[in-house]
Formats: sequence, C-alpha cells, structure tokens
Amino acid sequence: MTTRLARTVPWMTVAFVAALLIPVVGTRFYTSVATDVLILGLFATSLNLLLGTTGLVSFGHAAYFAIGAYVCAIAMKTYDVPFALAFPLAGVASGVAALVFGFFCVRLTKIYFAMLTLAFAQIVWAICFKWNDVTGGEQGFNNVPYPDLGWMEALPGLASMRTGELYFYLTLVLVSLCLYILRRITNSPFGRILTTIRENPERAEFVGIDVRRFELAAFVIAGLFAGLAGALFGIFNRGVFPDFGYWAKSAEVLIMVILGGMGQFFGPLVGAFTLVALNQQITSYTEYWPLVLGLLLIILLYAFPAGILGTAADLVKALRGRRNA
Amino acid sequence: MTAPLLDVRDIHTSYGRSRALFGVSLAVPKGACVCLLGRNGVGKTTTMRSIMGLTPASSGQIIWKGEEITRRRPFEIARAGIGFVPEDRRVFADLDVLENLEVGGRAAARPGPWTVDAVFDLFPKLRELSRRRSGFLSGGEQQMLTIGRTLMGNPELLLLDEPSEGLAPLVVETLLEQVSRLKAQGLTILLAEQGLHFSLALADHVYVLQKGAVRYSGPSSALRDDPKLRDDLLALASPVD
Repeated sequence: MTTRLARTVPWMTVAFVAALLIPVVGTRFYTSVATDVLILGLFATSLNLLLGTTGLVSFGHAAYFAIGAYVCAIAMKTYDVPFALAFPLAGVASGVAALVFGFFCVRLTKIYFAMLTLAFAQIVWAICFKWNDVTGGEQGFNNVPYPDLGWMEALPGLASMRTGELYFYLTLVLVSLCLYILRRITNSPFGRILTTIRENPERAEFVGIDVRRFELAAFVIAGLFAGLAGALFGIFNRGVFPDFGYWAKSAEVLIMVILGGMGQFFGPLVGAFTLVALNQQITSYTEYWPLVLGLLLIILLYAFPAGILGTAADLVKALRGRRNA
Repeated sequence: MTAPLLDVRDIHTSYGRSRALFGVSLAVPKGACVCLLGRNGVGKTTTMRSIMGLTPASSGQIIWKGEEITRRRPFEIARAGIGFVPEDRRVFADLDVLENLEVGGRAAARPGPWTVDAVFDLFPKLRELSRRRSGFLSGGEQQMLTIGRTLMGNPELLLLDEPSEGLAPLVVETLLEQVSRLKAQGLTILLAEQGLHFSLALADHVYVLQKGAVRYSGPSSALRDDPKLRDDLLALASPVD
C-alpha cells in the first residue's frame, strides 16, 4: 500500500501546493523563513550539480551567489532596471564569472581544484569589500528595492497580500522553475556524462569524453543558478553584503548539501530547510549555535553519511525490500 | 608493405621516477589481432595506457593511421578510433547497462555500425539485464558490458587488456568465442595476455614483453608449434589445449 502510494502520489505537486498555503495559514515569520529556505535550497541544489552529480568539491560557490546578488541589486537600484531583466542578468553575470574562473579550476583536480575555487571566491569577496563606489564596500549595498509586484494582486487570492508575501510567491515560482530545469539537466544524457566523470574521470576520458569541457559546463550551470539564488536573496534580505561571497558562506552551503544528502536531487533543499530551522530554534536557546552545528555535523558524518534524505531513501528501500521478500 | 594501422616506435614511459617501458616498438596491421604476451609487470598495461594517452610516453612516437598521436589527450585518441577495455573492466557502476552503452556511443561520437541492439546480439546476456545497475553485474557480465560500451564508439582498433583475467573458465570460453566473432568481422585487435590460451587462439602475431622491452616478435604459429621457444620465452609449462 505505501509503496503504491509512494509511486502514484505526485509528491512534488503536493509540496508545491502545500508551499502555496504557507502565507495563508502561517504567520509573516513563517513566510519569511520559507522564502529563506527556498532561496538557500536553490543555492545548495546548484552546488550539488558539482558535488553530487559531477564529483567536484567547490569551496567557493558563494562567489557566484554574491555576484548574482550584487548584479541584480545594483541593476535594480542604481540603474532602475526592472526585475524581469535584472534577474536573468544576474544569472548571466554569475555564469560568465563561473566560465572565466572555471576555465582555470577544471585544469586542476581534487584538492587543488577546491583550493582554486576558494581563491577565486576570496578575490570576489575582496572586490565586493573594497569597491565602495559600486558595491557599498564594507557597509553593504542597502535598501534594495522590491520588484514591482502590483500585477500579482490581480491574481486570485493574492489581492490583500503584503509585499513580503507576494515576494514569497514570486520566489516560490522562480525557484520551482529553476529546480525543474536543474532536475531535467541532472537526468538528461548530459547529466549522465557528469555522473561518469564523478565515478571515474580517467575512465570517462578514455571512453571519449572531454572531461574538462563537461566539468566546465557543469561549473557554469552551477554558477548561473547560484547567481539566480543570490539575486533573489539580495532582494529578500533588502541588502547585499560582502559576506555573501565570504568563504564561510561557501562552507555553509556545502554543509547544507551534505546535511540533506548529495546523492538525492532534493537532498540540498532538505538540508537548507534543516539548517535554517535548526538555526532558528537553537539560537533562541543558546548563543553557541556554531558549537551545536559542529556536533551535529560530526554525528551526521559518522552515523548518516548519506545525509537526511539519503538515509530516509535507504530506509524506505529497506522496508520495501522486506515487504517484497 | 602497407603502413600498419597503429605503429608504436621506441616508446619510453615512466610513472613518476620509476621507468616502466624501455623502448617498445610494435606494429598492428589493419584487420589483424596482435598479442602482447608476458607476465605480470612487464609493461603490457603500460604500453596500452601509453597508446591511449593515459600515461603518455616520455619519448618515442605513436602513429595512428599515419598521424602522430603521442601527446594527444585520451578523449581525442578515443574519438580518433581507438577503444580501450582496461584490465579492471570497470563499468560506470551507478548507471544501468543501457545507460553505460549509450554513454559509450555518445562520448566517442563516431559514426559506424554499432548500436545497442548490435551489442545485445553479440552479448545476449546483456539484453536481459539492460535495466540492471551495472555495479550489480558479475565479473563476466561487466567484461561484456565494457567491451560493448567500447564498441558503441565504433572503434577501428580495440585494446583488450587481459580480458580473461579473473573469469571462470566457462565464461572465458564464451568471451573467446565472442571476441573471435569481432575479429572475423574485421575489427583490429591489440590484446594483452599472460596466458597462452586466449592469445594463441586469437592472435596472428605475438610480441613477448620482458622488463619493459620487446623480447620476441613473431607469428603466433611459431610460438604454437615450438614448445621449446615457448618455454624459453615465458618460462611457463603451459600446454596449448
């Protein structure tokens, strides 16, 4: 019975509809948390195209998040570009940056690759930190305007919504669209070639795959979607700060991916949710959140290396196996 | 005499500071099956890895269809028409049988007669297993899948590194029959083997390697008909059954 249920229920549609109800049922606080989770979930999922699918460990993924956030915010505030243009522009800018940095990174392997991604990210951070005239430097780029969401009030059920709630809906639709595209990419023949590279780059190479080119393509796509996430986050946060590109941010998104499970497409989203929720809960009890996070990670890495969703999937599989036996 | 399809000229190869090949030369004519014979560690695999560009030769030349490929990258060499079936015969374990074959065809991107169906005709066992995760296949099935995946790239030359290694005798017989069919279809094969069984059944020409160099080169019939030469070269009392 449960197996049939698991197969026939369109879980993604259910999740989408449930998310639609959050502003209706929940408080403003929950809507805000949900927006946060969605955006960081997209950010983490974009990283997982490198980590889980291609087997590349990037320690500098925050760079593309930051570039997207700054480009969108600066375009909207300084140059009055409408969101509909600034948003894709942010993705393109991050994608181009990923193309330039990635060109060098994919020439190295393993830890050297990871270190170079970190080095480039620190350069991006330093530029954001110091380029006062454009980025606002250390003080950040503040008062990022919301996009014009007036048209959304004409939609059924949204007439009396606040801007923050409308922005949640906009985020929900855009993130869902991005996740859909990323999933299609992961399951495409292109994605399968990335899987062969993860399994064994040398073998992939002598089968005839130009490994570096495919790694670069994955790097650019991951950077592009990280940039889109950054663009959404800058507006949500009402400001963009150099911290967005700092190595700690890169570590945070890596933790989300590992926490949720990099072997599952929706693992990073679950990881983002868990990290945000835990952060909210634990910081209300103690100021030693990093300590709790550290302990949590240790337990996770030893006991559940497949992450939350990976462990859950293994459990379901085991239960089904027992039933069928 | 026409130029061979593959011409290896005096290659020297090392892994870091440890040298593995000391001037290996060999020629593979079109349509022939050539065998590299020798015991463990004499340089058979290194020769193949050098041809494939995985461990590039530090000196010497590798000529493929009249063009030098010595320092090309492995994927370029694969696309030029050399298919490599390594000794560890590892498949892409997370992909199923069909996906492995499709990746092989797509990656090499060479036009030719090989399709998934043609591979399944050669290895009927794989057809039954087409949706099985390839990590769960037996050793013999993985060997067939690796060969099939390589064939999907429509190679003109197949490098087979110890295909019979670690397989049950019955599986070896099946494999031998299947590789013979490939040869009969006109595929050029460079084979590496430790034992005589597979090699003498298939090969037209044999190179015996010792300590990273060619010790003997001659038609396989000479080796087949002369037990003394055989013992002398391989120090193996292995009868030809």
